[in-house]
Amino acid sequence: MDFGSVNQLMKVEKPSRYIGGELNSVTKDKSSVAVRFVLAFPDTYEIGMSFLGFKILYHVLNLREDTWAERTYAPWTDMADVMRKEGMPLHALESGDGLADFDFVGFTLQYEMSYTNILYMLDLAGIPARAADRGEDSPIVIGGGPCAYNSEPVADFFDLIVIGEAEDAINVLLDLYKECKQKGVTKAGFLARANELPYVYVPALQKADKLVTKALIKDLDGVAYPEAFLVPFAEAVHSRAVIELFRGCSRGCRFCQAGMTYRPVREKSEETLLAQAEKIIDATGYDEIGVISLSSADYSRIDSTIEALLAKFSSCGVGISMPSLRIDAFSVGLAEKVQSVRKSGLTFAPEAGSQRMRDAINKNITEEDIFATVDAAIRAGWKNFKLYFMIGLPGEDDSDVVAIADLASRIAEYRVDGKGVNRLTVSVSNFVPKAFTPFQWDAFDDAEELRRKHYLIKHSFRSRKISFSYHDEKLSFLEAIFARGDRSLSAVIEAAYANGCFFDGWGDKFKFDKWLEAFEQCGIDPEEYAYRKFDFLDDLPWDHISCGVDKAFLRAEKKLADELLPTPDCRTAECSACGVCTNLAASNIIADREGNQR
Amino acid sequence: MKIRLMINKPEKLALIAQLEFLKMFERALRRAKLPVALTQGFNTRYKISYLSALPVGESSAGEPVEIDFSTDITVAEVLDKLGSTLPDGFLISRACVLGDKAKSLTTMEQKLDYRMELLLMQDADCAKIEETALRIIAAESFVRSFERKQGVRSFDLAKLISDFRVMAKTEKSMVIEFSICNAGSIMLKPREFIENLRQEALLEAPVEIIAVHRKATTFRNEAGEYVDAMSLC
Repeated sequence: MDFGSVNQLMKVEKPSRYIGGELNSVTKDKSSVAVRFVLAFPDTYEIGMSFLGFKILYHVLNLREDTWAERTYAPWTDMADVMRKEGMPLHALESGDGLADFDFVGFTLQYEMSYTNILYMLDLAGIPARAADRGEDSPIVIGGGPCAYNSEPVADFFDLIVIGEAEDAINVLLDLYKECKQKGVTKAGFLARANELPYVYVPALQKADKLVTKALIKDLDGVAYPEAFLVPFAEAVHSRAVIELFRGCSRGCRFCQAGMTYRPVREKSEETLLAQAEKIIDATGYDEIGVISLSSADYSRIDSTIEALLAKFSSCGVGISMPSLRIDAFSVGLAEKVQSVRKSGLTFAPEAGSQRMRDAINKNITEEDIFATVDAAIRAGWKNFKLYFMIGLPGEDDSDVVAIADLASRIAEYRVDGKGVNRLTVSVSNFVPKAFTPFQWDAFDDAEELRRKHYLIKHSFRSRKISFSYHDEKLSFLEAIFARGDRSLSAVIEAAYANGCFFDGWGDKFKFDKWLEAFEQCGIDPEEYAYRKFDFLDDLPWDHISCGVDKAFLRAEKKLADELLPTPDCRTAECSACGVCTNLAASNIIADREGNQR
Repeated sequence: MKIRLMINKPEKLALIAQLEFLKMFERALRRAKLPVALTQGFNTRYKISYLSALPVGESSAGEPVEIDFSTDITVAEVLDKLGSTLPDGFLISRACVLGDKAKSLTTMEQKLDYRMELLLMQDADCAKIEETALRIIAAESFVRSFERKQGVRSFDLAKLISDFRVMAKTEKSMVIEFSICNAGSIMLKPREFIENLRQEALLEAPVEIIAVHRKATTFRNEAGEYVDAMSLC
């Protein structure tokens, strides 16, 4: 990479995003490696550098002597202008080599509205967007991540998609690639052989009889985890050490895709977590440790782990953060431990305002639980709260919507021992039905209706302490289309990109009218996709993929949702027969079970 | 105890912003496990003071930094431990224990020595630039105003700029060195000087700055001589 002068980069915002050289970045001799892999994050550097998945893959890939993994991120538009003017292709930060020079370009599919950024990055790299247009010399474009569970709308852009957890799968795949390369096997030959792996989806070769089943790491203690985290010069969204308490969640919230696709629950041992935290802090010098998972307070040894982390690190100015808390007094106690002096604000997600809707989504909390939590938090000294809700859930009516405002108003005015809430932020998102959830057959709520419901909530609050924010229903509408979309949507994504749509997740860059034009150009009715309600017997675009959870279980859960009946957590109650343990020959691993026997 | 040290900002990392530079340094200290004193309060921070912000796009041979330690420590230990934890390219050139009576650097007049590499476009030629610079320096007074985010700032370039030299030149590029003196808290930026040179030389095309490197920062002692920060410990 040569920008000619400092002046070129002085013209762009936050130039340190583009210079590489970060602490713990890996440099290898490119002539001595057999495989060159670039991890491509389809959003900005600050977001990509906070993403744990790429930290893990960067580590796993670079452990291999035969492979050099590098990174690239979507350059902001000012930088893209400089690159185009200078005739410079999108390149990897480590070597500065253009993406076209690599064996693999690996995109993570984190969010439907980042799909156009994949085309933007391929375009900047000079790589054809469609797999069918890429020749033998083009890199293999590979994908993975949560949206891979229904990757049909982007399937035409990928040579290969890995379903599930990639730590072991990617090694098998690279061994195969290296063998093929040494034997002179063509790219098509490699893809045909890769297609024989159970967790590999090759869109061009998919046959009706193959059920692509997710790769699963059964024992997280035994899998490689990065200890020398990359430390960016530019501030990332989250600049901190991260320890992953567990993967999977068995709470069974019926709207939650991660809750279904990451099953079963696999906890790490406390010893592993403490050792990893210490090594990461030693290697990075970060002043914060993020303790993450889908529901951190559910970790069976959370209390003693937090105590041990505080004992070890608080004296040297390293803080602990716990982003996902349950609604209960225990979680308030945990939050109190990690924020021992200043009570900066507590965030909870009741998700629905009425008990009826909370039962429908299997949230398994009552209004009593919510107020007990608020009570405990106010007694402990918190004054500012944030609550997350969803609207547009299946079966919702106006009384459920108004119940959000009602619940929030009562929380805002709640008082105990003369103390109360100072400020309550209510954030409302629009429910988007996702593949592999009990609500996958349901329609996205009408966008006009959502707008009316936002208005209804806004005008039903009875407290001046509340500030209200909500998601743009137009963005959710598009998200809903792609979340349950099929392969014909790839043409729409291409047309939208050609119309100037990228960085769609960034409010000021989102061009809804250009998206509608793209649908029209392709002769596709977007409403048909967003508002379609599938029957149980319909073929779904993602039926050739399996996350391990049985479709019959999802159907049964949908019926229970309609009847407002709960399904208990299989960690503490009986097996809910979701099928994942049988189908993947796995089981929940609980660190604290039977006297710390795992 | 307090230790003053000089840390560089390498040319290849000139685009790092000051806040990013400070974070980088604090993380290196934490990795080195040095007994740095912490501030009180909820957001405990290392007790470190930096003399001035180095703007984005400028590299430096050595910036003075002062660190408070909670226990006694030797300079050798600081150099050794920190030397091994700084990211590639960063170096601590020197360090000294700060005496109780050491004067604060922030109260002293500074002289910043710069080296700049310039690319001259279209109508520009090195001789014109050199001639203009020497004319400004030779003037009794040469006050010019510069627009900044905080408002318009005026500087007398004839008094602030000195030691202008052309170190190398080709037909369309030149390497220059000069010094900027600053007595107050608001400093003239080397980029502002170059832009002013371009305007005074009546050049139409922009002068592109390839590199800005701060070669040395010195301080005026009581005898009126400019000495480095290490001599003032």
